[in-house]
Amino acid sequence: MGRWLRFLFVLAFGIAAGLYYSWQINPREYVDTSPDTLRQDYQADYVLMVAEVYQADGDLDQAVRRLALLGDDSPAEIVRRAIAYALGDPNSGAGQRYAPIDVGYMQALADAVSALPTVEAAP
Amino acid sequence: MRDDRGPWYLFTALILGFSLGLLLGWIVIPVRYVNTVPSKLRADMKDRYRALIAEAYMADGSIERATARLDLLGDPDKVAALALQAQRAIAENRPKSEVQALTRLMLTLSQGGTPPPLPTATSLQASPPISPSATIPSATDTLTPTPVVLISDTPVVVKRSSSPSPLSTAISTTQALTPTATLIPTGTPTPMPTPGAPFVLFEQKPICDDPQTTLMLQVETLDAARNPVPGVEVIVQWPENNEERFFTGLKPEISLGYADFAMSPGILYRVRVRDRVGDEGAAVADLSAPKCKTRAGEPFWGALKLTFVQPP
Repeated sequence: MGRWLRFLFVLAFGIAAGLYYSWQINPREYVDTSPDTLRQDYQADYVLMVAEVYQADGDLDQAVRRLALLGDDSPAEIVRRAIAYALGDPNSGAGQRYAPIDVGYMQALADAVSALPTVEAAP
Repeated sequence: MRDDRGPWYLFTALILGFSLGLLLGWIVIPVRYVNTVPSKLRADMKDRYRALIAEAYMADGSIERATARLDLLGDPDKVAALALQAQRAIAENRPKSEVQALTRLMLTLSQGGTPPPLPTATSLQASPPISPSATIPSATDTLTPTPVVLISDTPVVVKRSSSPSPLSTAISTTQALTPTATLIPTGTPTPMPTPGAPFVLFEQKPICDDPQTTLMLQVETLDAARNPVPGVEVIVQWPENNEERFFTGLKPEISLGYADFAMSPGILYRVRVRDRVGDEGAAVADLSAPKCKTRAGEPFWGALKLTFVQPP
């Protein structure tokens, strides 16, 4: 029994060591990521670019396709998050980060994508 | 008897456990990266990001902002990256607006930030993008059941320091250039009209003195003041419904209004040029590679140069 206990203990130690090595010391290379992994400020700037292009060409389908690269959330939610970042957090005292005109572009995009019909998930 | 086995079973457990740990950590539940930077994007995603930067540049007209955004992608040579992507976009039949945006941004950067002499109309005026006070999201925003690594890259360090980041540099430059003149967007798509009439053929010249250009159809587009015009679409058609489209300006080392096409001997081609708003000049038909002779009298296929000019 003691022998098995020691075996399991060392096995668990080995697993922990393996996890530590593979997560901390030598994790999988973090190149080849997708836009949904971008930091929040980069995601917000990405949304601003989409909003600027939408403002110029009025192509909502293309804007939605571009927003879809930022994750599985609805386009409206993605833009809402970006606007929240652009406006800053009043609780933390951080002021507005984007110029009002840029927030205006993003708001126009938010209004457009919010008006899109919601697609129900298939059962 | 059992005691004679020694501690080898513990060594086996250690190896087995470590292997299981690696399997879990690398394959089953690998690190999920969040808070990455654009330079770490996959190549195809970088292309999409770059195209979006170019199209946003077409919309806001701010080269400082576009440069700052391109810096985030970490391309060693931004102009080359844009030129290559523009050529790929043409080959892949990407939307014309994307090709033109990439070409336009590439040409602007290749001229040190000065927009090429493209006919342009009013565009949305740039405004400051992101303030230098942009903060880094807290780790609580990214909690997931899987292990998470918060990537710290150069932009983070730059933004935290007192030195201006590329984006904040863009802000200050833009603000300096346009302190108050910010146009209110109308909410309608902004056209980019080309003033002047459609291009007309000004000169058609066979080239027999340069064997390097054999079978080459060279096209140059000039405006009324005889300045080269990049971003003009050239449409080449030949029998059996063959067609190829390309744009001037992708070889700025030759001329901003230059483009070329490889002809086949004995084939008759038809060439049209179309400006940025889609105005198309008259087609030039029955074009073929000229037959030339070397000084020794040996025949070879020469090149043909077409110069199109926009009448005043």
